[in-house]
Amino acid sequence: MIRMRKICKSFQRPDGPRLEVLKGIDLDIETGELIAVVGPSGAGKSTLMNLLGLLDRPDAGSYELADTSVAGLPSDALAQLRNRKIGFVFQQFHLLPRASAIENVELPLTYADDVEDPTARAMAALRQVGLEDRMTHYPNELSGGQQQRVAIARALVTKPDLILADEPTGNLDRSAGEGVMGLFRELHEDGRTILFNTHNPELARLASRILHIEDGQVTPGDLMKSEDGVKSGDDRTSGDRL
Amino acid sequence: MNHKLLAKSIWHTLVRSKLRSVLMSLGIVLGVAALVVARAMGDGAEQKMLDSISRMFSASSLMISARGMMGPSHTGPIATLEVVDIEAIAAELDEVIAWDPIQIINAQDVRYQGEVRQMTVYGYSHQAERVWNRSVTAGEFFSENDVRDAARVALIGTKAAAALFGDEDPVGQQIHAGTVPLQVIGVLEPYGIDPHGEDRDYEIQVPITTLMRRMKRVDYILAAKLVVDDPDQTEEIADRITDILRERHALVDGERNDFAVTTPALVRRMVQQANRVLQVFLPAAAGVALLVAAMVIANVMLMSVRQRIAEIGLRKAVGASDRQISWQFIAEAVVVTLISALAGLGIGLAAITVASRRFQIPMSLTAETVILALLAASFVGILAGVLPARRAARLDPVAALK
Ligand SMILES: Nc1ncnc2c1ncn2[C@@H]1O[C@H](COP(=O)(O)OP(=O)(O)OP(=O)(O)O)[C@@H](O)[C@H]1O
Ligand SMILES: [Mg+2]
Repeated sequence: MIRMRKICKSFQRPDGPRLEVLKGIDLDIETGELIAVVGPSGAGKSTLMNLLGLLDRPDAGSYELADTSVAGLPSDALAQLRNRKIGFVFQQFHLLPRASAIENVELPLTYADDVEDPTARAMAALRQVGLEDRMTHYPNELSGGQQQRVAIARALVTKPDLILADEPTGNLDRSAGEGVMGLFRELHEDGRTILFNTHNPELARLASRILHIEDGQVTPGDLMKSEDGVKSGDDRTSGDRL
Repeated sequence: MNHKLLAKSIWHTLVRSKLRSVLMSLGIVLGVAALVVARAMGDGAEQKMLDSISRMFSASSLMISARGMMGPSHTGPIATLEVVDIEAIAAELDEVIAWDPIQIINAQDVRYQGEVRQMTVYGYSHQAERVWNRSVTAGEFFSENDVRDAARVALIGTKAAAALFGDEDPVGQQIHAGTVPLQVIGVLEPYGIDPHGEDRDYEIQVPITTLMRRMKRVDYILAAKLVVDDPDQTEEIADRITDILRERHALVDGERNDFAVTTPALVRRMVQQANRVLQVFLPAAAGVALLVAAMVIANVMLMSVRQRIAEIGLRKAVGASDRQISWQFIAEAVVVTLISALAGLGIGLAAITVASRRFQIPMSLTAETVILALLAASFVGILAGVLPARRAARLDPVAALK
């Protein structure tokens, strides 16, 4: 499903030399995996997520997504691939505040071709996350956990090959976070491919595989290492967060 | 791309951010209303002028004037146009079905018993009733004999009659124009102000022969009006009249005409020229107002792009291409401006109705004006939307979603 080779990514800093974040990453992901990405804050977890999600381009290296080599594709083609193959879940949910739950879930279908009945599709996705009775609610009428579940329904509605979640539970309390993780486990059992970033070792343990990012490299993570990452992370300081 | 969903979402954006939409639409509403009213005023004024002219100058009329009378250069009449010229033209051109010569005395003292008033004296033939489409409401018009004999008879306008006679019946009374005694034989149909600005009810009319031989003592005429049988032929007939008159007046090649032939088309052009201010400059001013409105919209939208960075980033993340983002913002601008234009049309229409019903200002709303308003609004929308749309399309999704 995913094959990355020697992926490098650096950022120009205004006041100094380039910051090398990813230094030649090799990564293979099979269909149906549920992967947790851990590592200290600033290690490049989000950067890797953005590259995987085609929101950003690597400086070097090759990337094949579902047998398509994406290097050098024009931005229109990348947008189309994002629409068809990828569903995003963000830490800040990023729901449109002036759109109802169902309208938010419909959003990706705006940019999809040949969707017969977008409303029915969006309803099915909302049902999948257990929010069929909140269809017409606006984001400010939903709890954080509910908002994130709407966002997950939005990621599911195009039936993507890959779901990318950047700290999906980072803004949720413990039980809401567990709800979201439960949902991911269900989707995983349905055979979905999911990759999520987290600072929480308990959540990472629920994954089928853990990747540890540090010093610009990816290594197979064990729980001890991921806990090292957590110690230097910001989330650890706020006690009631996961 | 699902256009229905995008349309729905654009509509929701506009409806759910009412303040912003109202802010965007204000300028357009006012600009379009102003444009519509300005155009309607121009069209109405032109229509009124054309109406007033067409009463005296129908589509099948031609006017031959000693040069300077009707034409653009007012150099004063030239004493070369004679009744025999017009007779020759009428004899040669079968299309001419009626004609009437004119001579005028301006500011003539007209006296009845103790009352003296200065007024214009018009000399016409017995054909004037038909050619000028103006009859008498009391008494009778001149006869052919009156014209042949240079009879001392006169027709009097209603205001002139009121000034000289008060409540007395003027018909049958004797008046003096200068030293010439005239018997009033009829009262002219009220007419109002003519396109030259003359009050045509404050005048007397006498047979042209009487005016030329007994009063002004000239053998030339100022002008003649011809009625032809085919309104579509007026330009050709005018050319042939020009040829005939140049030959009769023995003008050599290169010499200027000493007469002018006025056709309905020329009159129309002159009227449009006269209405240029109303027709062009007022709408142009409204156009400038629309451009200002475009700038307002562009600014409001730039602000909205800044507020909606997360939305734009999200749309890109879920698969919107740069072009689709761009279209969304341009479409938002165009939808706002078109709806505003409709509102502006409505307000303009209401203003026009009030102005013309209550205050009798001549106004006419044409389909052209409506189309112009809608086109101008879409243009403004696109113009205003382009910059914000580019800004939105260029946003980096990663930065936008931070
Ligand atoms: N656009 C950018 N310009 C400059 N530096 C950047 C940019 N984006 C990320 N970085 C830097 O790259 C490094 C990796 O950032 P990234 O957001 O991937 O970290 P992360 O692992 O997701 O951290 P966290 O756990 O805190 O979310 C950081 O040092 C960050 O400051
Ligand atoms: Mg991060």
